[in-house]
Amino acid sequence: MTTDDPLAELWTGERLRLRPPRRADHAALERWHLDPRIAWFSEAGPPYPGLVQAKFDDFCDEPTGPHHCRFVITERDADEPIGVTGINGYTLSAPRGMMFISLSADHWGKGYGTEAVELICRYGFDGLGLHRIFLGTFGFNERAAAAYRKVGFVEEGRIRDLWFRAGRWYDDIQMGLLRREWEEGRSDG
Amino acid sequence: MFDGEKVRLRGFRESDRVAFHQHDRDAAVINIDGPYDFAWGTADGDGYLDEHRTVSDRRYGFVIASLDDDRVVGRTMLWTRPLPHRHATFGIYLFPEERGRGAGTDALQVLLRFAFNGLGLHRLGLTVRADNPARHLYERLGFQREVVWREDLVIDGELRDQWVMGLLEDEYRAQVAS
Repeated sequence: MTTDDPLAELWTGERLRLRPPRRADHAALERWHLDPRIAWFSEAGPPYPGLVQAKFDDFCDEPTGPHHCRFVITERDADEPIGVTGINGYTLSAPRGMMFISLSADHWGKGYGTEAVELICRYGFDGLGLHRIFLGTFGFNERAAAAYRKVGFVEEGRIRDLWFRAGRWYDDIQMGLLRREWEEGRSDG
Repeated sequence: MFDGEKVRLRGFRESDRVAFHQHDRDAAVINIDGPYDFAWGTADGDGYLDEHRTVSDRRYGFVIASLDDDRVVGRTMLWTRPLPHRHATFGIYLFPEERGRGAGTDALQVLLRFAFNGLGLHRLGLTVRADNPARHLYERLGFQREVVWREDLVIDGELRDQWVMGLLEDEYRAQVAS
């Protein structure tokens, strides 16, 4: 961290930054979510070309609320969106949330995914005051599961046959990270 | 389809409301409507019953009534996801004085039949607090513990685990056949 602004630290990493989504991001988000390398790992509903459009209308129009937050991921000194992330489903009485992340396939293999997961977790624990962050990922998404493990997420189980995709059933990997585990990971450096 | 040995699942009637009112302090403790409502229970009145008045293909709510005298003994609801996943989750709530006599098992067997044979589901799932004795009922009916959501809920100031349990259509059919 090189900034002196404790709030900005919540959304600024070594190489990446989180910022609110805007309407103008729409075209870029849609373009790389239709990329087949991404679509296989991201679209959970019935497959239909162009379905992402409605999803990103909603994403850009309601960036934050009492129960969710949504961000665009950019490189630290750029404005162009290269991913999206956020946390859903937290409440005052249930201070835990489900995170999601998606990174443009053009930026895979650089450790950006791991850094972005760290950023959204920092926002969740230090910004929102959550106690626990959890997530689900397709059973075939080993790349994502590895990034989550690196940040400290623990596999809590697998929901069997949750997803029907292109003719067969897939499990969902469920992972969770508690605040104290997150803090221990920090102090280990 | 909707009759079991002891109970039947049927639609909600306005006259059922009073039976739920008599139990709303208990319903506040073991609420079937999901973790977000735990802290509220029925403090907002009986709005939770309105969900039972209307049925859609996303949500099937039932009153559990005794076959003998149509006495209300509880309620259950199924929330489905859209195709293609053929998946639903459910909650079930039985009045305390109706527990321990097989009504829950019976109601759940009817619900499973509706889920797998009526709706044609591939998987039926649920979440249950790890300390809720109802999980024994789910285990008896073949549900497997798939996930432990650690420290997922705050109940009476303490962090509690929740389990995700699931039953697949093959497992259901094998069990009915045996």
